[in-house]
Amino acid sequence: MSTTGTSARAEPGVEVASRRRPALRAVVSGPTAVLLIVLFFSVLLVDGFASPSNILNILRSVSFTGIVATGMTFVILGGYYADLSVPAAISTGAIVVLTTMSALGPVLAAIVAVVAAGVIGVANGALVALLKGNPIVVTLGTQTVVSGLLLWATDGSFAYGTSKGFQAFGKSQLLGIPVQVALFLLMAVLAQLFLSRMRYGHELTAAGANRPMAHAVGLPTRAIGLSIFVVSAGLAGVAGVLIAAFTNQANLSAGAGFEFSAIAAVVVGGTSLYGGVGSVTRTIVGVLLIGVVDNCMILLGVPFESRLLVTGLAIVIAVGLDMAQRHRGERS
Amino acid sequence: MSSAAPVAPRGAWTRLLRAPEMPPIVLLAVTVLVFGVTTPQFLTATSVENVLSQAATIGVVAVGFGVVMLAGHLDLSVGSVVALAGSVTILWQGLPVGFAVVAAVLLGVLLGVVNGFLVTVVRIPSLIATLATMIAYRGVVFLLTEGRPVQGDRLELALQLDRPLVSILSLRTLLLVAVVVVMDLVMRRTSWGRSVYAIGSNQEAAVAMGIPVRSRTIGAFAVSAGLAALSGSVLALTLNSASPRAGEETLLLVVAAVLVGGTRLTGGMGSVGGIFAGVLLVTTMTVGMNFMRIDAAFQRILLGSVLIAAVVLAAREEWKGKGA
Repeated sequence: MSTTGTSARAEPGVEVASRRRPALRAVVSGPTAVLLIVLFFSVLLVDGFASPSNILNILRSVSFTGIVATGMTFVILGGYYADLSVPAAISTGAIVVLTTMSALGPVLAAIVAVVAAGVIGVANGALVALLKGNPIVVTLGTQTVVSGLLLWATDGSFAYGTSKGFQAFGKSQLLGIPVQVALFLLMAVLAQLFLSRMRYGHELTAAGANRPMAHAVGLPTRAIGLSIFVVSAGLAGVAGVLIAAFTNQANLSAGAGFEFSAIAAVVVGGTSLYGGVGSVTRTIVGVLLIGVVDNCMILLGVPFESRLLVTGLAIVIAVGLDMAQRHRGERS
Repeated sequence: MSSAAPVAPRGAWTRLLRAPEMPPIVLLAVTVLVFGVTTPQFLTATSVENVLSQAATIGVVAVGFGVVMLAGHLDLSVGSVVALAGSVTILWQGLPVGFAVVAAVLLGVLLGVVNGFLVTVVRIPSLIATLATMIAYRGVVFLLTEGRPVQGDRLELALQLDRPLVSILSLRTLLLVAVVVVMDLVMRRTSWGRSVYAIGSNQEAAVAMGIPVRSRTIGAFAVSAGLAALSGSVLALTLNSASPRAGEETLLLVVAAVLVGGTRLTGGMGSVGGIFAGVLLVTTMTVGMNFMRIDAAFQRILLGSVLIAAVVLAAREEWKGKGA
């Protein structure tokens, strides 16, 4: 009958937790181990998994989610729960690059597209970090507003690319790996360096762990909050541009569903939803894990949308384990 | 200063004007006035019927959602529960209608208990727990329906549900009125309802007072999902079909209605009456915009803006409350 934060938790709880401890720790600290086990069984049991073309497929689809999830890592690590407006930012990136490339040329169009997506992040950041709106409800609101704007601008129809070079870029390879994969790795490494080596990263993590405290010791929590949402929307815009380059077409649902797979990748990788603990490296593991499981389900013929069930369960399990670990930490 | 808390005796007028239900009611009157002046055909029985039948769907969900918000939590999974209840109602057509609806509602209650369990026992913040179950429940819907809309074979019943029964009130609208009246009484007059307010305004104090916080919170989630299921089930019967995508817009409308209805985002403050006014306001706006032939695109932009404005204003109130 007790509840969150009460010291009235009885001894039996501690008993149970300590008995479970070794098993829990193995799973909690080991998304990588889970990934290896899943990979092992996938190679062994799922027909067609280990073929080079399938591996390439996994890596490519993982990179789109991965770029979005890299931005989402900033949001979650910074203590803002989630950015539900990434689908709108992705669609904005994809539609803007495709519709402006004939006038601006592909390179400038791509830059404009990412900036346009970034504007969504500025709005989110201002509403959440400056005006203190609830991040989930605010980003749900901006998602709706922007999808309305996109519907108005495109009338719901597809935009198509006009540049051969842009299309060739989407199918190109760098040193034998698809360009999307290379760019994802590049951005993930840069983001991780930002978080672990730069002052900004440390301040972001500190603000995520305890924002009032960070504010009290004089960290620029508002600027950090604003930047977090700009990074998230900007990276989603980059993902949108890359999706457009790969498919050469996009409509306003180009980014549908990415918010969930990105959140799932971040928390499954072991970044705490409570902020302050996590890294892009963990997100890479999470995104690979989800990508591999997803791919196996496709190969096994599981209907597309019902894979949502697995995504949802993955989030519940990952957050539940994180929670369990926290309580263990509180007691010891 | 929730309507459940005893208010110090003041002039009847002052009390009326300061009631939390007032802002949405005034806004509603203004909206009706604006639409009435700009589009004369808006002030007809048809549009009132339209508003009421739309309100019937989201209203029942909004009342449940509001109960969870009063307890200080959010239930993002309501839209998926609407879809799930709708699809099982259509898929279980072998059962007599009553049984199918009751079974769907019980299923909803069960899903709500799962939400409440995750929030109170596993102690995942409700925002995240119900975000995850929103995705998971939607996955179940797609599994059950194989991703396709399911057709029902009770066309007659479907017509019955939306036919005006008493002047402009259809069976569905009467259901909404019943839910509002019952839940209003439950929240204001029963110890269960009052303890939900107490939990929402100060959880530690509620614990100290000996309120069974955990079971009451699980109960609030059960009410929310149960009402969402009731709404989804009746909606599916009315449409005589269930779409796996049903309820995707519901969450947005419901959050907007509940916040506009004066419910505090962090719980403890608000009322079923205010939520009802918020629901009428949101649906009047949608129906009115349809009448004025305002584009679906602009409707979305406006709805999103209303949501953002409501949540930012809610944050302002919060600051005032803390004296900051």
